[in-house]
Amino acid sequence: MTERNPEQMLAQALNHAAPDDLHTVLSQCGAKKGNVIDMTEATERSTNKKKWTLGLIAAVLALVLLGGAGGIFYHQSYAVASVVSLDVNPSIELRANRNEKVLSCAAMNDEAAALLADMNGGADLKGTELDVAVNAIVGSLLRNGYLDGLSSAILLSVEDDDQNRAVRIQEELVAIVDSVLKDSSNEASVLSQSLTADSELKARAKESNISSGKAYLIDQIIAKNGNLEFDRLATLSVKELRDLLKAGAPGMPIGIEAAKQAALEYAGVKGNNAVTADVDAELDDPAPHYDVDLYLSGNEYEYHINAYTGEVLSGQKNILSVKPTPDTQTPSGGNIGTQTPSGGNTGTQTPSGGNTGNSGNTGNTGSAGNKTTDIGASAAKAAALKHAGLRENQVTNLRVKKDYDDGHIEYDVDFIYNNTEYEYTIHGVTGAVIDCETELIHKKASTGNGNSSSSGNSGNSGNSSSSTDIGAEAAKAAALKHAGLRENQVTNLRTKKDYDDGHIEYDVDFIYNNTEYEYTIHGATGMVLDCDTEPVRGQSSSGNGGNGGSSSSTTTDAGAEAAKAAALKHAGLTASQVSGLRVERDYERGRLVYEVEFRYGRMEYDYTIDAANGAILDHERDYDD
Amino acid sequence: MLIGAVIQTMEQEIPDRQALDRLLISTAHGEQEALAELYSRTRGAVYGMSLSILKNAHDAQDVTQDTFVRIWESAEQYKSSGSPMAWILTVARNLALMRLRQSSRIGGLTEEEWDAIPADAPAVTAEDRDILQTALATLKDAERQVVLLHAASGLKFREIAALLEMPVSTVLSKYHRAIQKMHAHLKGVETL
Repeated sequence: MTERNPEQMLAQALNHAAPDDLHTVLSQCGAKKGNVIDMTEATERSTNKKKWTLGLIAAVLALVLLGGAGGIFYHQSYAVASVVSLDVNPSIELRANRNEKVLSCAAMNDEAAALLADMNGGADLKGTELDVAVNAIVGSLLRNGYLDGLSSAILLSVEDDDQNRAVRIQEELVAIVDSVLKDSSNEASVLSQSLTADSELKARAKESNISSGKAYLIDQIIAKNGNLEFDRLATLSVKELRDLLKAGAPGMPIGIEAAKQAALEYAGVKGNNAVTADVDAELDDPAPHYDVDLYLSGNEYEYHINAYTGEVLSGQKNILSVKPTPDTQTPSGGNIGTQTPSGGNTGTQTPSGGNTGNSGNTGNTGSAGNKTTDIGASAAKAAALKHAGLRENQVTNLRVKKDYDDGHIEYDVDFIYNNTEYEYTIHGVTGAVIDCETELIHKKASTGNGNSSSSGNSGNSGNSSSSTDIGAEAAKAAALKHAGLRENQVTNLRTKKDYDDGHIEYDVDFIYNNTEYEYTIHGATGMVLDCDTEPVRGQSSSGNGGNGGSSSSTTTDAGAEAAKAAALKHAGLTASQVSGLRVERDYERGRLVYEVEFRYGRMEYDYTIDAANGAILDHERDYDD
Repeated sequence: MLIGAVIQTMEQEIPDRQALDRLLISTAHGEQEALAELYSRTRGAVYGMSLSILKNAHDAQDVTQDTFVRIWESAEQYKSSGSPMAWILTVARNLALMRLRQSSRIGGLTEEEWDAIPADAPAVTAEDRDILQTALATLKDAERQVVLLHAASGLKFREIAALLEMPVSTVLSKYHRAIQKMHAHLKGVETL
């Protein structure tokens, strides 16, 4: 077995283990698609959170006949094909064409208008891909604290007469929202639904300044309790609506603002500008209530307000007249030992600042710090464009993605201008440009990987529409040049022409000194698009001796111990503190490196260390939950 | 020479891009025979993608089946200039992520669940079980995704990077690390 290639074995095992039941698949493929769309799943983002699941919202929307749409046909680029709405309490509607490019971004209410202010009222999102726009909006929702609550929820609705496309867009966008929330360690839930257009629903939504998606959710609630009024329900957040639906819509809740005012009044701090508040709806609780947390002078006070009567169920009255008792501090600023009336320990309001010293309410809104530290996607985008000396309307394929590197927020900003792809990494707090790379897309590479390759021996076949073809020989030469080798030094040399997204590429593979080289060469420019090396026989060496693949570029090898020491030093740990320590010798892009892994507690560390000098080339830190 | 033989074998098994392209277009035109051929050629890759996300054989099998139903329903949205395998796997990935969210199945598997892998498929050999368990039990999530995709799909590293939204360099390093771990495991050698 040791002679077998594990990848080949895996491929074979997957083919054996994969279901082989074509009949079942085909039996489901003949069904004609109807107009009733199953809507929604509630997304749970955390296992340690209180679980709630929204039952599937049955969606039966009247089909609007396309034929009666008025007979106006826009050019495909300008015709609205999909309407995507995002609702938390801000309601934002994105209209997109068939190519899923945003045609307009509209704020449906005042909160949304404020949210979109730093995106030029939504105009900045025009022309972007739907997923980029959704990414930006969710990022802004996060930065502005709309998803900070313990059980916040965001509703994503896709309205499209093409049901397949609606469901696909829904799935893709939910995955993006989920990813953004996950990256921010945010535990908000994602509700989603697909619906077909309904002009009557749209009209009511417009009257109430909400999206069609939220209007649809309200319709479900009214269907359960006809006494509830659409306009009043429209003022509730998605989280409240979801809870209400789940609870069977027994009545009209007082709303977040009224709950907050009730708590402020009871606490004797109404009108006190020094007090801030977080409010969470718990309408699906057996005793429906609002959780209101008041923050004053580093202290946190929790109140429970009856969701339907506004009665204060628990909480400290007149907080200014009672001094916080130091011995009731919760060390980490966590949630209060709720001072329920029966609790006996009356003055248990918990100073959250106390012994931790930094930034207050770590307990329940972990992302509060982001409000002041994260510059946000728009600012990151602006920083990258400024660095490039370009304006947004000059570039295409603009994408901004939030990322974390060793616990620090970064933004990856990519765009294309004048056949050059720009890739920026922007510091998420300072806006500084951490990294900037440019790559020529069609024209000949002038910098970077070195080989601008031979000029225009414009090749033979070239059935690609626009570009020339350098030909297999030039591609081979480019790969060999990059590897620093001559053809007579290598074996198993193979060149294969390929197409990727309409562009010609050459895959060039060869073996030299027990190392397999795999190159992908741009068919028009000769630029090295991808380079991969691998020992012919997989071996993980322990010391600094190792296999025979050490031929090419690396001249010195500091050894595994030095690599291990460098990684531990960077992590601020000693070998005795960590477990699962592994050091493996590897080649990356022709460079000899050491991969160092270890665990400290539940934190996993991965390092890539330059074997030549012990420099840290890459490192990651993941919390293993 | 050994590696040369391996490469040739792999190439025969990896679905051909142009053929998949044609099959997807035919599927879009309602040809069930094309879907059947597509199923035959790519079910391993789809299953690999699903398994790498869900880490549960039963769920992965369900998602694999659902993926082909979804492909039948939406093949007309495929643009033939793209990578057909990447498109197919994007469908699978979305369905798998949705399943994951619905079931909130996060975390490790029990021993019973591992054993469920071969129990449901008579074609699975003891060696298959061993290699799958090695991939699932010893690799980290990202390593597993990369290596399963590369093994079963024939996607390039750049395509895998795009699919998994990772930098190519990360994909490459995770792939190599995964392969080395599996080599070490198969040899029964404890690495340092």
